[in-house]
Amino acid sequence: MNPLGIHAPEVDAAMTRRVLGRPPTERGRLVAALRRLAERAQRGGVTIGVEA
Amino acid sequence: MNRYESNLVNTAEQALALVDEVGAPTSSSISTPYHMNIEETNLADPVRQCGDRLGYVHIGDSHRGYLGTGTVAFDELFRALAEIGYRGPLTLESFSTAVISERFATALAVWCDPWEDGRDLAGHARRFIVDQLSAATKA
Repeated sequence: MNPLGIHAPEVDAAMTRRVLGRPPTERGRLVAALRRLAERAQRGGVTIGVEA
Repeated sequence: MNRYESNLVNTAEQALALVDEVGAPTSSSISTPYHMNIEETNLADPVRQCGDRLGYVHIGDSHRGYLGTGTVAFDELFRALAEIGYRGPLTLESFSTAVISERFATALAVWCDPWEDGRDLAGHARRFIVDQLSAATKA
């Protein structure tokens, strides 16, 4: 669960793979997850960001 | 984020490419000097590259402690932020077990605490950021 209260396991796994001990996330799965997250965030008036 | 935390997005250029790929109107880029200090060749060019697509800026030093006591070239960063007319949030990012759980500290590899008094840290950070912004806008 992220701070938006949205369960987005692909995103969480991608950004914390070292912590979770999981293999690297595939980019396609991450993009799909971010699209879903962005749609839901937009309904709540929230902007999502990609951190660099 | 730096290479030790993510295999997908390490630079501003990669972040912008991912934002484009997601294609959502509600997505933007976030810059964090702590990570940029590891991955970018300097702190100004990535900010200029993001321009008005920069939506959020974390302010953190190289050791994630008191701002200005590490090796991050903050003057370079703030000059670039002033140059692009950034008006979004500037948020201190610093970690200590004084305020985070042991599990989170382990996840972030916080093996030694850079500070214990969060209020003092926050006050110092605010003054530092205001001074840097002021100097950058006058330059």
